[in-house]
Parts: sequence; C-alpha cells; structure tokens
Amino acid sequence: MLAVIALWLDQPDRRGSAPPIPLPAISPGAFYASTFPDLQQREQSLGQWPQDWLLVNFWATWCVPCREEMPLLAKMQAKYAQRHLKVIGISADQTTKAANFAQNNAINYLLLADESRAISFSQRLGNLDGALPYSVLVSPGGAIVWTHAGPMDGPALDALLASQLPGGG
Amino acid sequence: MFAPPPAVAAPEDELLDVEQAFTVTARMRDANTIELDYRIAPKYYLYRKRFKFEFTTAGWRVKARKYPAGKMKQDATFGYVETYRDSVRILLSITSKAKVEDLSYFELRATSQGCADIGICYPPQTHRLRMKTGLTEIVLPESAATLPFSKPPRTGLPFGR
Repeated sequence: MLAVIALWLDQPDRRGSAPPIPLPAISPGAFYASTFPDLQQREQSLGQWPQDWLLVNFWATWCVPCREEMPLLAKMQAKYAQRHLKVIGISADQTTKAANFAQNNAINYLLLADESRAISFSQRLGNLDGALPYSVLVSPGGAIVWTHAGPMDGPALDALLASQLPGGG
Repeated sequence: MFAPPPAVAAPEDELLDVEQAFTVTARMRDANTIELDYRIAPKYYLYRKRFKFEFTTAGWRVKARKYPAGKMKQDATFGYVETYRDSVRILLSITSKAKVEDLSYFELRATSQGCADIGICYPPQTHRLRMKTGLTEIVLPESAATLPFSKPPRTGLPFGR
C-alpha cells in the first residue's frame, strides 16, 4: 500500500519560490526492499532499520558539493544517533572509488555504492534531474517525509531533525 | 558544418536538464583531426579531467587530445582542478588502421561531466557522435545525449517541478 503522506515540511529547496511539491510515492515496502553493496561489497538492505529515521544522501566522488556537505552529515549523525537517526550515503561511484575516498576522510555513517543504480534509485525517490547531491528523510515505517536537491543548509537541516526526531523534549 | 546547438540559459534558480546545460557538436578538421565544440550554459561548467573519448568503430584510436587553458578551481580533495565555462573546443588527433575510403561512418563516444554554480553536479554524460570519414564536414550528433540512466517523464510523476 502506498504511504499516504500528509506531512509537508518546509523544504530548503534550491528552486526558491517554487510551490511545494508532493513527496515521492514509492511504497515503504519498495523502499525497504532495496539493497546496495557497502564498501566491503556486502549487500545491505535499506529495510534493516525499520525503527529508525533514515537520512539518505546520494553523492559521488566527482561531485564537489556532495563532498563538501559530508562533514555536515557526519555532524548530524553524531548529534542525533541517540534519537534514532541513521545517515546513509549512497554513492554513484564504483565501490573501489568510494572506498578510497572513505579511507582518506572521517566518515562516521554508512556508505553504500552502486555506480549503475544509485542515480536511478534517487530518481525513484523524486530526483527528477538525476543530479547530485540529493537527500531524503525517511521516517520509521518507510515513509519519505522530506526531500532536498542540492547542498543542504546546516541550520535548516539541524532544525528539521530536531523537530522530527523523537526525544527532543 | 552544422552550428552547435546553443546551450540554454536557465531562469534564476531553475536547474537545466543536462542535455540543455551542455551540448556538443563535432566535425573533421582534417583527415586526422576531430574538432569537438562544447557549449556550456551560463553558470554551468565542465571539468577538464572528466572528458573521455573513445571510438566504438574498430581500428580507430585517439592518439592525442588538445585542450585550451581553462579556469583553475580550488577543490578541497583534489587540489586545483581545471574547468571550462561558456564553451570549449577540443581537438582529437586520431589514427586508424582502416583505410578511410573503406568506411563511410565511424562512431565516437564523447563523455563529459559538469556542475552548476548552485551546487548541483550531473552524472557523466555521453554523446554518441556518428561521423563521416574523410575530409567532409558532415558531423551528426545522431543520438541525443546518452545518459547512464533513464529519465522518467515529468508528467504523471509524484514529483512536479
């Protein structure tokens, strides 16, 4: 069953004054059924964390803005880990390229990579242009509640997570 | 010779399709040189190191590439990288084991990759250029950009623009 998503969050979208856009209608089942290899070539299912909030970030080593926002993602992972946030980076590189990059950078969240499927999967999640970076926030149960094309604004992302994740007091 | 299709200027904050942001045409400058003209939309750029050229027609080989000087851009990971804006003309010196007169066409795959100033990068884009041999200037970007993925139609999608 398709998730009925009524949650409209303020999206710090690069398209400025464009009207709000509906969220992708991929079903939670389809989202959770997706798998990608990690940097050790082990298949990881996106459905293994159904109780967590997932911040899925699509990136690539050839995308400078993507690399520039990785410290922000690492910071959010550290700050909100206790509030059930799991950041997942899905790279549109060959696994070896992503692994080489990861070796030289302090990344505290899960990295997956699939050169042939990362972009097409992001498109299923609403990334019409197929451009990077692209990020989505998935609530427990698998509903996509927020999407963002382009680099994320740190304070806006922090505020979003603070307002959505449990345990904020 | 066909004039390169113009790269389109985008309204403020609106992202162009990659096929509009970067266009390319090619022609035979002489029997051993291919001239590629990339047009780049305003506020977009291409990376020099991301160009890749290869023939799909057997026996043909790119012997040398000649690039103009680009603009150096500081990158935290890769140091200084060279980029192009507005346009770039690349010359490929080619060789072939085949006799030119034995082939009517050959095909070159030209790959490029670029970004927009608003902080978005496109996946590598490959154009398949089918070219006529010899000294003629007939060059057809026969197939449109060959993307590494299939872009869904905009209408009927859960996402609008």
